[in-house]
Amino acid sequence: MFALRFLVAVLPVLVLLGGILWLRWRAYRAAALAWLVAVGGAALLYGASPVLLASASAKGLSLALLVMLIVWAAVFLYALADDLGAVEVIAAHLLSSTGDPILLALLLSWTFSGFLQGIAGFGVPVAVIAPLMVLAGFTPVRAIAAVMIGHSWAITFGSMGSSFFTISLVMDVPGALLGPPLALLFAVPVLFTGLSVAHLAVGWPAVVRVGPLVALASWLIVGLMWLLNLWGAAPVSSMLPGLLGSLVLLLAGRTRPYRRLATRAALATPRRLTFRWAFLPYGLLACLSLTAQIPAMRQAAEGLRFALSFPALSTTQGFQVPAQSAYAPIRLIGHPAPLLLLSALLTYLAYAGWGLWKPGAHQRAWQATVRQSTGTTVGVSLMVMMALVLADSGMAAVLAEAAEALGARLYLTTAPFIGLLGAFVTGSNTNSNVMFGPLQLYASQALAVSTLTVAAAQTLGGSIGSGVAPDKALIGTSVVGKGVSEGEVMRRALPYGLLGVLLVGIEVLVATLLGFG
Amino acid sequence: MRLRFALYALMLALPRLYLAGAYLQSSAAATVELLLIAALCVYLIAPERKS
Repeated sequence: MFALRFLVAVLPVLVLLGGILWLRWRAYRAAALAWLVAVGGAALLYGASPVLLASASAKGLSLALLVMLIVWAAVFLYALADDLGAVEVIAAHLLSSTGDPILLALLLSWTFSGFLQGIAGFGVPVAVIAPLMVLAGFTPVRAIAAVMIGHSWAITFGSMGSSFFTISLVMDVPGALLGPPLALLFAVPVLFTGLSVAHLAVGWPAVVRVGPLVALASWLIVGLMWLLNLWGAAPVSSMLPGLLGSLVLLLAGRTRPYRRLATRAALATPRRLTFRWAFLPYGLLACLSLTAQIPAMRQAAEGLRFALSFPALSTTQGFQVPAQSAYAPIRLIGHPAPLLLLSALLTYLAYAGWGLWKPGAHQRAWQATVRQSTGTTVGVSLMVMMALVLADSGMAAVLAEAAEALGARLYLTTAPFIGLLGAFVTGSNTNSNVMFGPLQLYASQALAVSTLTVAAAQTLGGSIGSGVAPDKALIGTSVVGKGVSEGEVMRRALPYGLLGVLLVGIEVLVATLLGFG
Repeated sequence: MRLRFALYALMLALPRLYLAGAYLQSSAAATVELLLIAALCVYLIAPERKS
């Protein structure tokens, strides 16, 4: 009987993976079928009533609403900045900052792509940076693979923290508790991705040459990530560390070992914006995000939130779902979407005041946002609904029972690979956290290991997995062109991703043995 | 077009699912809402007709 229950519990996940991997469906189609399979299995074998299934699906949709509001607002701000020419100016500024190929590769693929991931995500760093890497003289395969692995450290806290918020909600770990230790555990991925970019771009001599610089920049990036999380500013915990890393590398470019004259054509091209004007939307966003964390501000806006409450329910087989008084609350101060939109509004006022505004920019940005985010929203919504059906019907608990057989130590090392698998298949750290979060939660409880540590392991693996996912290779090859195949790029990037996740697994195990989390 | 429709349908489904499942706890209303979502899923899974 347990075998049948396990099979039915694992079937929705297999349907999702199979639909995307073997049938090559878009994620939303596979998620739709997975939701149907999950609801059917929960009703027929797990004794879930229509009330419980409707309630679980409503929970899923309200969680998806919280995450997708961030995504829509982040993509809109990026599309607006891109339309106004700001992204082009910032990128050209970086391209002309140094003539040292290794430093340039690190600056573009590792730190600046992390900064871009912090704001927009969804393949934007690959789309923006890979062509610049080719322009800087790297082969297309190396260029795309370097950005894929290089920006992966920034994915969990990227897109204004959407993946972080998701894992915190799905695994019921308060963000304030999860953020600081998770930031510290990013030490290995940040260092590893930096060294990987150097190795991918030039080879072992580059790793030896820039190793100390990468270590210094990693230390500063992780330190700032940790401080921002202590401050409660998770949404900017990729953006600002990415910016700090870029500044460190820019300063290093002025020192003797790295000083070489830039010879890029970008230097001579006249542009309508200065660097300061180009950076304004993101500077405003950083200031507003930090201001929103001031305790007085948060207290004043404490009541300004939208949240649904859910009653306690149970299946006919006795699986209990606890009541939730305010599920996935969307706060006016604290949720990134209002800050992103306010940054867009202030950018409009400043640009219009100085005659830099392009007529119709907001409409074009909105159209680009709708084009880019509609499919993702439908896919994520159905996936989250499926995940909540798995969790509330007791199916995830059965999967966790099976995971118990692995034992605590082996499970901790495996947990990041589960995150990687979900992100690799769906192309998203957020989706992976939604899909496997309930399984990881119940497994951590069954194995009596820290839920916080397992949550961190899941999203760390998901972060790297999302970076090296096939959809990123597809974006890279379609933007760069030049007849490069996705397969070539994947073969180059994937070994780094797998090694990175293995190192994360070891890091998580060692941290647990040392009493961390 | 299909995705745009699905997005609107899901946005409208949130208050209805919540009312039927969590608020009213009505088995009949919850069944109707689940069937509507199931129909949307079938619509999304079906291959798109080439024009």
